[in-house]
Amino acid sequence: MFLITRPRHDDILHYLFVWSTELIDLALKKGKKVVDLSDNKANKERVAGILDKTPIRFVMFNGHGDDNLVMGHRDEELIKSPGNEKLLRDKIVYCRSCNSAKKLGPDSVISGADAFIGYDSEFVFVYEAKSITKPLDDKTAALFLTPTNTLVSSIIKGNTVKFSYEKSQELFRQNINKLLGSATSDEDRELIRYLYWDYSHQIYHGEDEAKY
Amino acid sequence: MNKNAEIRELVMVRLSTFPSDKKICIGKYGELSREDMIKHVSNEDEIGKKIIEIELAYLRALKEGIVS
Repeated sequence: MFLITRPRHDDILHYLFVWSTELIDLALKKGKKVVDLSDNKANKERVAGILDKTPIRFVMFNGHGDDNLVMGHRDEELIKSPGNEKLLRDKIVYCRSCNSAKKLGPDSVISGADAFIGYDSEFVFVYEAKSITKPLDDKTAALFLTPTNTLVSSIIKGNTVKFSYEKSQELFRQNINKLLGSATSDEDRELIRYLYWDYSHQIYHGEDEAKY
Repeated sequence: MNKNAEIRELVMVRLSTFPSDKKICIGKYGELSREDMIKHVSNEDEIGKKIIEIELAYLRALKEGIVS
């Protein structure tokens, strides 16, 4: 089973919410059972209850985060270390949030999570202000969000954590190289530093060969 | 001008070419326009320091040939 949280109480999370839709569609197409905790359903009580009582194998958190926690609707703390990180035992976890791979990631693995993928600093992305109502049409945001979605879709397709992570890293590199090309405007070239930031701070802990 | 002030100036110059029709999301710091970023760097606040950190990491990657 695949559990995904999609709070949407600000513009950043709205983008992640919309960009996650294709991942839910893919999981369903692959015959996976999906628990989609969107908006106010992305709360601690529901998340903890489902992780505790349901055979979830893969968890994707979209939300704000910090070194030792990941948040949900209205920035409620969903998983925190020390605290309830043991709920991630035997699971593959991807946190599309800031900082959580710094402490929550390794602590979760010590507490039994098979793998934890995330960012050990801020997760950054640039978007086109005019596209706020149509995030999927935003080619700038796509440079940042496609590599992260690819990581998740690769896991859903049954690839290992290591393979999926490397695929995501490769896409970040490709997008950086694309912007380094001579056809890129000086303004768009400014985006490289932010892509490089996400690329260099995306890490994972746990088993290379863990699979969904 | 001390070294920190020089770095701050350099980052503000670089930020002046950030696309005016785009915004950046830096985690908990929310959405920022080009002008917002320049203001934070100028004020040397927490967000400004993070923006400088991002810039310096990129410059190091350029120097080391990680990005070329």
